[in-house]
Amino acid sequence: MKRLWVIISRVGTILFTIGFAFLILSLFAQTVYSPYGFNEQTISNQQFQPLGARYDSYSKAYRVNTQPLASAQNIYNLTINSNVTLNIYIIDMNITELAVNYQILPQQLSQANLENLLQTKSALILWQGSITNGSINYTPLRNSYFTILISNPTSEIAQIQYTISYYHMFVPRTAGLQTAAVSIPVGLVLATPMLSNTYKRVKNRFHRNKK
Amino acid sequence: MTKTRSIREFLALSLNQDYKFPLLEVFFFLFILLTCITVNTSTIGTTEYDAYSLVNTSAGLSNFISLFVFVILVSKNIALSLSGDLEKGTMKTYFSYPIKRREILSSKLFSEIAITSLVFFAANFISLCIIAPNTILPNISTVLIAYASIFAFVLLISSLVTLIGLTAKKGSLTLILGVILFIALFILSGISTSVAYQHQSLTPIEVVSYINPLLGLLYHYQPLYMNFNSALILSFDQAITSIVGCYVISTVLFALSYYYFNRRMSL
Repeated sequence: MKRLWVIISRVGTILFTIGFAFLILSLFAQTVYSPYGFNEQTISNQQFQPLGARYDSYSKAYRVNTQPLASAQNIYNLTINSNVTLNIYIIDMNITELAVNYQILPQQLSQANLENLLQTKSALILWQGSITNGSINYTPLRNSYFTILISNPTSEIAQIQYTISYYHMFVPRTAGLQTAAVSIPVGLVLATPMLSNTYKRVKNRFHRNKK
Repeated sequence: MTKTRSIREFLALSLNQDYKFPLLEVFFFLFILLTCITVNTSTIGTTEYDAYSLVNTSAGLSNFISLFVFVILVSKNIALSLSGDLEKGTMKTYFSYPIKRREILSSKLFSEIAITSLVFFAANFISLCIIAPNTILPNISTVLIAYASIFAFVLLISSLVTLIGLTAKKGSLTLILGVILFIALFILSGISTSVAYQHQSLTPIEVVSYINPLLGLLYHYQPLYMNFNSALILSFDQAITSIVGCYVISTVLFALSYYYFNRRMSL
């Protein structure tokens, strides 16, 4: 095998190794956190609410226990049990900014207001879906703050119980999987000369042993 | 043309001996795993300190395991390849090749130190770029300085191990001395920090940072707190001087190795 082909093949096997390492690291979580524990919330009919936020009427601002920067290295899990089907929106903004910029105040939490906001600022929606009982997993694409808004489009009062937890990954899952998706096939293609050479050598040895 | 060809042939021979398939791939895999598992990402910001902190916790002074594996690999390569060849008598055969002694040593050292370092830093950099691109890429100069300090430290140990390996001509002894040297330098760094704390002066750290520039850089980015009111901090110039100083010491030690290998060594 020519020296250049050996170098190209070794570059290929290294690329394959890099991809394989990130593939493995993207699949396993390092630790699991559930910082807020078990929570309950009530949402009136045709209303919406930010999840986990309490409105402080004295300072006229929303309060959350802690609102850490959502990391692309985490997978967030929201488990909900409700008596009605709810609409869930993950918004690309923290609750304080959302309240100040878009008047998300307790007296303006009507379904109509929410629809109005989401229509004009659809770019803010990171994820949306409907749920009654079950859980959703969400992985941020970048490090940012996000807010979970829950709306109750039904005519009944929604009683919800929920937990928010997150899995801290060794590497950001999206970036890790993207790296693996590119470097594994490229690496395999580049390593083809060495792999075919190894295959030929093994085949010849097998035939020689047979004789 | 023939001269460079013979050097290239010898370098290819050394590389082939040191990094047989899949040794290089296993190193890459291990270094990526070590970086991603050990790096502290609890406070990923975008400042210079955050970038330094990521490198420091994944490959620097705050990560004994990664640095230890790196130094062990370099020492193992020198011990097995250079001292091993001297011990087994293979070096006698190399001396009969139409190639100068210093070129043999250069090829061996390039294969043993440069390739392992390249793999270590490439694996670390790729991993950090995937974990925190917004921290690493805007502060690339800080990251390069941190890598330069790590490389200076490893190069100093390598130069000492090479000198010991050439004089002792025993592979296992060279490897053991390399490990002892690394641990001794780590302990010395700890002692200098506690002396600096007791005397409320950075002088011990400044002195030791010439043989361990990681320490100098650490106390440039991370102040040594005396109490709630005062903290000592090493200036950027002092940190850079210690890195350059360490490279100068390594160069002198390598020059001694070359001199011994060229003129003094008899087989």
